[in-house]
Amino acid sequence: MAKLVVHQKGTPIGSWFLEDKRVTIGRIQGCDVVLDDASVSKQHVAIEVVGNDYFLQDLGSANGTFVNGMKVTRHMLRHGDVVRIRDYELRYIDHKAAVGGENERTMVFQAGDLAVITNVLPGAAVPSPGARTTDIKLPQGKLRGIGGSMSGKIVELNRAFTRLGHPDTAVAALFRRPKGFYVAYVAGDTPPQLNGKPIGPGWHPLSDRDVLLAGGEMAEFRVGN
Amino acid sequence: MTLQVEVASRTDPGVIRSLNEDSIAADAALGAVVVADGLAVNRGAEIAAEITTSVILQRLRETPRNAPTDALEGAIASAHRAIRIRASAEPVLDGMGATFVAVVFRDQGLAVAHVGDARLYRFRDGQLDCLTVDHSFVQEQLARGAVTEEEARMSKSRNLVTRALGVAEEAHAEVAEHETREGDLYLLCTDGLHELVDHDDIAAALDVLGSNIELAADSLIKIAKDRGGRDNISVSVVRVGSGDAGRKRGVLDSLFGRR
Repeated sequence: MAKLVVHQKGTPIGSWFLEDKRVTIGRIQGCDVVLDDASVSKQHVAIEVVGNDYFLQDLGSANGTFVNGMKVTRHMLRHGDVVRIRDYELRYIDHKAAVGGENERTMVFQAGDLAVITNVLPGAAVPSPGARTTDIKLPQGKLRGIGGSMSGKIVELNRAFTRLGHPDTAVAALFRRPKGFYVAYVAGDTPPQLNGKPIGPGWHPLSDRDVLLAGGEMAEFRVGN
Repeated sequence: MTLQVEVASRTDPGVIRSLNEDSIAADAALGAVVVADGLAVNRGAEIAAEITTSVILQRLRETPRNAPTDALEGAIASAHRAIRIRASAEPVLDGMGATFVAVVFRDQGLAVAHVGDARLYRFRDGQLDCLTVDHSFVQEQLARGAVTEEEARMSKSRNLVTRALGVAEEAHAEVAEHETREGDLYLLCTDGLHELVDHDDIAAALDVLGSNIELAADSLIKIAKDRGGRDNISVSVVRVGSGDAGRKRGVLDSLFGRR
């Protein structure tokens, strides 16, 4: 279960487990977490439950709420976040997230009222959620044109896939993967070539200074930037 | 008249899980593709996914003259009932269900139905658009402006869907129609793909590899596995027929050693 560990000027003063309900933090009795100091507003900040996440919501406090040094009004808490309210430091600890042991099985969230689902913001189209943030590291690489229309040009391989060649004759593709770059024959009547040899089915790993030929375009692959 | 479509499908258990609880069924001649992701309280996720794709495709085959949206709605109702009947017979299967996306291509259009967070994307004129809106908690939060796009990417609620076939009394499928154009590419996928592979990477795959849909489907699976592959991954890449489809097919056949 997630919890808040609270320090005042470096001295631990307690910790609070976050359950499945709203938690208020402020100066006055009646708040779930009482920070008894004049610089804290009566009701300073709340922590709200949204699905499986906790959101910090500043309640219009006089002196503000800071997370990892940034002033916030609303903030989705992540493991290790440090919330600062003047002399107080509230550290958000979520051990399940910390060890990566989240249960990711798809579950049906029983929304009480399906009608609520259509209650969207007026006007603008709503984007689909983007992919999950991952810390995947991708290598740097580029193509240096040595023949054809890209002669003398440099193409940075900064997309997942990059095309080389011409649709009517031969198209090769380069694939940027965590362990390096790969090349494949995509389409066209003549297979593109890797170091003078036709490229067979599937993806083939590339090494520094490999030479590619596709549809009249010739390029040298270089590792790094 | 059924529009000429070519379909390339791949499903993979991913990097972490041993069991594949996704299912794909496709009939290019009928112009129908169904991709499903099973879920369960106890057991039966893979059974629910398999019932979803097989029953929907079977019912579509039995009703080729119906309007595509009517055919889809009827097929979905059948699959929904089939899951519930099977679950009621075995207590351990109680609560099983599936998210899915099903598409029927006909004439100059398509009909799409979905429940949950399986998606349909369209790639046309260099632009990728998602044609379905997830029935998911995070999608709702985005729609209400309760979370930012950045927060949605980090949310721990990403596994929460708000609808699944077979789970509630009603199917609650969302059905829509879109016009199609020659050369359009469509991607049906489960969340195992879009959970890890971002919009720009999907667009790059369809842009660069789109003339070879088999390679495109293979490579989408690879990129999801490169990014962790935590879930089962399923993709169907569909190309809407164009005048030179025959020539392209010849290239594919030589590429994959077929005649």
